[in-house]
Amino acid sequence: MTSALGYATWTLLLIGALVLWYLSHIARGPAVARPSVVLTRLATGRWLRVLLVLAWMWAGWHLFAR
Amino acid sequence: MATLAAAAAYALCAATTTPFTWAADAVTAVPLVTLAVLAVARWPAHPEPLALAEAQRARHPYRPWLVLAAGVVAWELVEYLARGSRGAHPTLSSMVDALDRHYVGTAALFFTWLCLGALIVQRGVPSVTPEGAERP
Repeated sequence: MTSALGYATWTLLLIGALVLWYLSHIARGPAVARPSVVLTRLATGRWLRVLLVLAWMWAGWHLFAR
Repeated sequence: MATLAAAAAYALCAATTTPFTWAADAVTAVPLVTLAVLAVARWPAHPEPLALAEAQRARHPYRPWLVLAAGVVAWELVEYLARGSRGAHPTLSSMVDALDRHYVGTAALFFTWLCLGALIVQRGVPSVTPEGAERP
């Protein structure tokens, strides 16, 4: 298997994210939550907010420090 | 605006550091500690989870994002555990590393990370309610 399949799948996932973002912003009733709503839901959940902060911390540490 | 400018300046400074050095550890640790302190200081001890309107809740608006996140995690694991070189099996980290090789890319990424952290703290404060949602 070459890297083509990997990059193609990542591209599809990115397109999926963009489609969800678009669907969440179209006028007729949000069947898909807006990213800001998702983030607020995560940041206001008793345990979800802890996971969210830990994920953010881990991402920063992994990307920029170690 | 001043906060954004400060974050951009900090990101530009942080981008000059090299991973696996004490300088990189230090510039990354400062935002980590800052966010932890802000979260403890500004977030309520017993949060009220964001509540959607009944009509919205029935349509399960979080589900598509959950499915997408599951897809990302699953494919990341598949690529990470696959035999062969990282070039043949790119992960999120390896793709970001390509961006990280350039000063501007690192600075942009660091700035985005800082903004996301600030947004996380802001969204956890009870007075902030996004459009299309309501507090219980």
